[in-house]
Amino acid sequence: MVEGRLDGALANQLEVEILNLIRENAQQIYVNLANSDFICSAGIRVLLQYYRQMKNSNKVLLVTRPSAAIQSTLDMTGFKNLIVEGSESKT
Amino acid sequence: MEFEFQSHPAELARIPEILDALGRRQPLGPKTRLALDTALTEHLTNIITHGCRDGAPHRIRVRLTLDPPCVKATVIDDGPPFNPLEHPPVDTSLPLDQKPLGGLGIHMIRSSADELTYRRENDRNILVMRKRLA
Repeated sequence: MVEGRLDGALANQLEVEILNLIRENAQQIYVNLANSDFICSAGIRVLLQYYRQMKNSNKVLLVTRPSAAIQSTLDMTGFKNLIVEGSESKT
Repeated sequence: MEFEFQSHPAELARIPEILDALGRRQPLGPKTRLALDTALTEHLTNIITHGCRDGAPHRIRVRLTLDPPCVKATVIDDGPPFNPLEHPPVDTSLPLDQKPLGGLGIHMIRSSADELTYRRENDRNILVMRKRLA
């Protein structure tokens, strides 16, 4: 669960947390963005980078329950496939 | 309304405050606000991370004005010439496996603004964005 603005600073923090989970050999990582109302390009890059890394080792990293603002930004940038199907924001 | 930012990443956290200040003068719909937030965050990030690498302190001025039916945001910085409109657009339809990791910030600036103009004047970059009030 990410709380607050996913700007550059929080994107770095998210990356550290994802790397910790990967080190612990997590098979599935779901990033819950229900309580985040903003994502910048650095945040999207972190999600994309580790989505790929996980996928290449047959593991999963996806976004769940994006807020309306996050959903809108991911739609605009062509990243809605990062969202778990069925958990999209209904706006 | 005019605001001054230092060329430091921590300053980016102030963007919601200046949009709150604008919102007290003119109520902003959630879409207008998100677009301004996104465009300003991405542009200031580029200025701070790419334009101010010489280590010297730089100032970035952000002017927010009402220009019905739009809000106009003017960003002025004294870094090296940087025209975001010169960068090629990214193809948003590519599948996740093929998407490039770069160029996204500039794409977000372009898609957020209804109108975007750049000029270089007196050794300063001036980017003007207009966003319709929705």
